[in-house]
Amino acid sequence: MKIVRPIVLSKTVFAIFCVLLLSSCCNSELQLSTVEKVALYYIKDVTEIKEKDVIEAYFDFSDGMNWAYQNDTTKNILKDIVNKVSNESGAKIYSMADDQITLLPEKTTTLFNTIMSPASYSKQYAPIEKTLARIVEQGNNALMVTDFEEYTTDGKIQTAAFASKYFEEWLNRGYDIKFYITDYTENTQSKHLYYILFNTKNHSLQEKVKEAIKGQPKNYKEYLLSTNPCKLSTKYLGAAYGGCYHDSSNQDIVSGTDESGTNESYCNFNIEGYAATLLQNSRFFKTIPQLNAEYYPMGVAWPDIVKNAEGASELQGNERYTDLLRNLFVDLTNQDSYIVNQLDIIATDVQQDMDAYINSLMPQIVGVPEMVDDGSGGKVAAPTSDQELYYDDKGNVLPQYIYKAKPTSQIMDVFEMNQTLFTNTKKTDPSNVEIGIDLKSGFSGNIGGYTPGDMIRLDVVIAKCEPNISELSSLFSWGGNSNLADAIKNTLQNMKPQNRVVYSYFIKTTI
Amino acid sequence: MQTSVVSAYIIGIVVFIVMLLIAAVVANVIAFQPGTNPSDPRKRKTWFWILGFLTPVLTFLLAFSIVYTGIRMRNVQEKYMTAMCISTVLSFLLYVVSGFMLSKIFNHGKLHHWFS
Repeated sequence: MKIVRPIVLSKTVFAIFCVLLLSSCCNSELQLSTVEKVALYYIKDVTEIKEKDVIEAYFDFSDGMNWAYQNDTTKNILKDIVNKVSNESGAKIYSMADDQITLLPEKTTTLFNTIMSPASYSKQYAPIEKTLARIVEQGNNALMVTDFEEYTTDGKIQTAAFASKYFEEWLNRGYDIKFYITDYTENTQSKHLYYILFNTKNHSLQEKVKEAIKGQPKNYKEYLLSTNPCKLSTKYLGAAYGGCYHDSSNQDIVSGTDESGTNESYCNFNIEGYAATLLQNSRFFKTIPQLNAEYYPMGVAWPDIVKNAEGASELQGNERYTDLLRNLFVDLTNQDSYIVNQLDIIATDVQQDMDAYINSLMPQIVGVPEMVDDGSGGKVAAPTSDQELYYDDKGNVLPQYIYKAKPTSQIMDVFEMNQTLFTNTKKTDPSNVEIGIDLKSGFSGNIGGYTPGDMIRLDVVIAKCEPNISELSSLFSWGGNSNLADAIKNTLQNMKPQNRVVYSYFIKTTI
Repeated sequence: MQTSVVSAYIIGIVVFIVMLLIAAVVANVIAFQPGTNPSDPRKRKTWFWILGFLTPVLTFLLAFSIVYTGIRMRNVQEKYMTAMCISTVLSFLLYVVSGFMLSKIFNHGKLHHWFS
């Protein structure tokens, strides 16, 4: 099964990841804690995108918009949003008209009056596709206010789904697009006005817009175009505790997970700031990103975990063991884009690949050796004692420290997701659907082809989901023009997050 | 969380030493009796073996009540149970072997009667 690695991470993951280049350090300082290794290994699958804290807003100034702003709801929302956005320092506001994107004057009052004045909306042909291309190229948080009516060069309304590729490109970065939709009538035809928010991972503009329209009566509709339909959170005994079994005295008598709060013990990367308390002296992280991952150093071997699970399942009342891991919750209320029907798990032995990746970071830690004159006009590396472990005399990294992904063998017949728990909690409260993971019945503790003690990566993946297209037509079509509805439909079908990893457990046991 | 099995062996050793000391004290407390067929050697021997058989019983009971009942992990319970059994047997063997050696070392004293 193809595994799609997660891209559901905050921008801080990228901005704060920092490899310190130090030229002189002793070998003992190069030792990394396991918590640090797990964080580094998890982050390697995430593409780094530097996000600028810039806000852009594009207003459709074509004459059709005057119809939209005759509607009080639409006008009030516009007023609130313009007020908010135009007051943001550094915000760049553009008009879209006459096939041009034009930067508006920066003075707040002038800007506000320009946008709110009906006289501004006297032009033709707002260049929607050009604007989409520009937003995607810039990659900043952006607002676009438009009726989404694009014209072809021969003056006809564009009905082709031209927006798909821009939406897909935006979503591919792990970003999302939020639509606020109001209705209005142009002559006798019902249409929609769209306040489209192109959100980067930091969602800063989204927060501002939410705040701006907070007091408004909710006579607008919302739609979130996103490939991340799962929002996960943990509800454990405390920051230092995992989702493993605990008895009435809060002891893990099944897996014996070390929950002592050190940089070799259990770590919940999903709790913002917690990992930082364990990795205060990290050479890699200035601050620790929030990740959809946890690390479990289990204190016993798999055969003993099986025995202990059997023992604990004979206990009575609240102490009775049910699953190896519990209390991870997924919020499935936002099904605008996709309806998630089933999650599942995939377990792999990642020890070799992880070692190879961590090894490849070592040359970066010690830094590139200085190149000096070799006496015959050439240059030769002059490595320090640490650098010579990782670099040859030409200053190139030794081949064994160049990362090449090692095969990761899938572990079958060990874990299974508690689908009954998932289904039942989904029925009860879709905002708190519980994920439980247990050992498969019949698992004796011996894993074929697995070296005891190797790191196991247990990924929670979207096993079954389908694009939610039921509302697309009513929200994104008007007067026979379904270009936007089609574009969103295409996007949803092409970007289906099947097999996407939404959460990862890293598990290591004793031998 | 994980209990070491070492405590089972420590309890065994402590019990064996204490019981052997008690046996030695008892042997010394029993006075020599005059006559051609005194009963005191038999008394010393009897007490040595009574205390000897109590040694494994005490070892097991102490380890069980002090440590084992507090263990909740089944794999540790199994390991500890094995260690307790070994310690029980060892405490008895150590008691007997040590008693035998002492009786031979003090072959003119009261302890000699343990193995005479």
